[in-house]
Amino acid sequence: MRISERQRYDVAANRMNKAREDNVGMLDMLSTQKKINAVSDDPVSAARVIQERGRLKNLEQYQKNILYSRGYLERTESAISGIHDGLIRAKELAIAMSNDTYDYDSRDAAAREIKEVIDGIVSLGNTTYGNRYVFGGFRTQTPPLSSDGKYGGDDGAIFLQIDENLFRQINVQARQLFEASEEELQGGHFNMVHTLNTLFEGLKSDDKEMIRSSLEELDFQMSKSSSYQATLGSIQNALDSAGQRVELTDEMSREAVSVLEDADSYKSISDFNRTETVLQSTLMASNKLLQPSLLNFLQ
Amino acid sequence: MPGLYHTLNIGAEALFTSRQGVDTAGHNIANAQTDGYSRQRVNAEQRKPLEARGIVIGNGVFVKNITRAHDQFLEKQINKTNQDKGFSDSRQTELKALEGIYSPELNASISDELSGFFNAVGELSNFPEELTVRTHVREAAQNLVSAFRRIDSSLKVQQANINQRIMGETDEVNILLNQIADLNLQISAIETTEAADANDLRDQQDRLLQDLSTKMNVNYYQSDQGMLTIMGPNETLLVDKGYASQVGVAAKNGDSNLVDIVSIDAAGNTKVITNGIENGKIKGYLDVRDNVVESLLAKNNEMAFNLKDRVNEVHRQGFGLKDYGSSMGRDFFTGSDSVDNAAETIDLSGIISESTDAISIAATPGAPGDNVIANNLMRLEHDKIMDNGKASFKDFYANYVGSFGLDVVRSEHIDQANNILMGDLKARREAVSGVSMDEEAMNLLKWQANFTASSRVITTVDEMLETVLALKR
Repeated sequence: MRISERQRYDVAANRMNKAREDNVGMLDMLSTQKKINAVSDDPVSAARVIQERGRLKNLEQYQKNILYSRGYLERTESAISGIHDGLIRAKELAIAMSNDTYDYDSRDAAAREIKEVIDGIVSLGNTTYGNRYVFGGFRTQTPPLSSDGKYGGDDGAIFLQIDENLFRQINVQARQLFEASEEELQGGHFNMVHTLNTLFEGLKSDDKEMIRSSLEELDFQMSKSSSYQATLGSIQNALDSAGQRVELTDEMSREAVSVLEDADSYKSISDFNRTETVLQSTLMASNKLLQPSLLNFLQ
Repeated sequence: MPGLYHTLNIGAEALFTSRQGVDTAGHNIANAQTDGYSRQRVNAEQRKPLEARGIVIGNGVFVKNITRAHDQFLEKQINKTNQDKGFSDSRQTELKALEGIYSPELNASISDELSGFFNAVGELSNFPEELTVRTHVREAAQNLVSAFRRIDSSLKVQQANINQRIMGETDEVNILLNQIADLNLQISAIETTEAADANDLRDQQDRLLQDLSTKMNVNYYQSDQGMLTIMGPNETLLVDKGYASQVGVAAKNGDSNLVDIVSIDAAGNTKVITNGIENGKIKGYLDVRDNVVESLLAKNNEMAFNLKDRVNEVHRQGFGLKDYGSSMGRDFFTGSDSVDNAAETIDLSGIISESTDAISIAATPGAPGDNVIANNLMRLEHDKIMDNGKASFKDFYANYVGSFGLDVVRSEHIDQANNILMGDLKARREAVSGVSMDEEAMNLLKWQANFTASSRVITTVDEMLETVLALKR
């Protein structure tokens, strides 16, 4: 084949161009440390990166939600165990004071302590986390428990998303805890604070019969608070396992994104060096190649 | 009967031929780097011999003609490939420009803004009463809306750019058509005799034809006098002898911003030929403008429309905070009722922009801690809403960006293939028509030697003449 003058230059120019293009491409990869710098670099991976990045953002939010839920639950739990402790103390006092060995003065003192227990339970019932009343259902901005033990919250169940398509209730519906249902009222049971008030009245009026009757009622209230504690425990377990799962997914997604878009830095450095060498040798060869023709040798 | 003057004449003609050889070699060397130049060669031929006294006597040399080394079938192939290459070139360039809009480096992609919005709603689900969180939701929604609009407007800007390019290309086509028609006349004027070849003009003609075929699909044939007849899209006669018809643009039906391509004949009648353009640069531009950009716009609109619709549907079931605590039925987003301009018009509804308390995420009135609707909103993120219930918003976005990316890659590959093919054809053309310095150096040597020898003939005849003249003293 005849090789024309233009062809010699064109070939050299094309080769140099190609070498430089490769070189710049590798420099791009090296400086961004990313394999995908444009969608067309690898459309399939780019689409997956978009999805995985979206998922990562979600997972971040789920982790925040789980953290918040934990705090919320811990606060709730400590309030309920406080209430439980108060009931235990009340029961201790009731058992002791139903005994004939105590006199009026002791019962009066006990009554004062019960008053404090009542105040304590009311204040625990109005526990807040952040600026939300944890026992108020959806009515988070008004104290759910009045000083006479009336429950003013609603039955709102607050759900938070802790995983894709997984919502968990993080509050307990506390009406059951503080208020006796219609059925229970008919069965001779009372509200929590009302029960304690009965004990208080019994102690105040030195009425041993009344104290004894409130004893049974206290047992009923304690069974309620301990069942709430159990519920909280199971929610927390579920949160823990969801948390682990979310963390694991997060790790996996991060790895997937990294595999898809991160350049292998050892490989990209060696690739860059390779293109550098190609470029230099092309330049050198072109310089030599473009010089001579027969004209250079004619005298 | 030939005499000494005959011999002198042979020498003179040989001298002329040799000089012409050097001349043409010089012309070749001068044009070694000229685009589209075909090397020329001097065709020397013996003169018709004389017959005298029964013997045939050679009558010297003359320059029969100067021809160019040229392969017209190769030229046809180049012009066909030029059309493909023009198409893939312009398509590739424009797709690359569009790709920037969807660059993964851009953090504010729709997908990210969607996550941002739904995460803000998630945060609101945690803290339904917090003013700051509500403001955050509004800002995230604003960002999302802006992302839809930015993509919409970026795409439209690109579309307008491409439209401009198409208009520019038609102007260039007209210049080419006029030049080719002019050359037709010039060539036919020169090539009236068989010996005369308008080599350089034909080179120019070939080059113009190559430029023209890069731009759109054309058919042509060449008459004996070297005149080109060119048929364009839809069998429109573009060039006939010295006549060139013109192409122009006219506002496209229904969309006054974009243009159709029309042909204008001698009588000034116009005919839309947009659909007849099947190849070349202009087709590449048309394809990106009318198909690629339109489909991307449609996808963006589809997402914006469905998002607006579904979010509103859920949001309308919610109660707000404070002043809005006992009323429901409020829209979150506003926008056009038609899918066609959903992305352009999507915005926060007036009431939401006015007060964040209007963000309604409670399922019951007067319940500030109620996050039921917020949770319902969050479900939309993963619900399979798009593509007839087959894809979530993000799946849909990732899919359409991904398939656009594949289109870019495909067109890149096609463009590369065309470049290689073109390179190959050009190499073949160069092999036939290109100037080789070595060869021209040889030609120079050859003709120079010939020139020297021919001048020798003349000096010899001169001496002989002197001898003859000296006979009579």
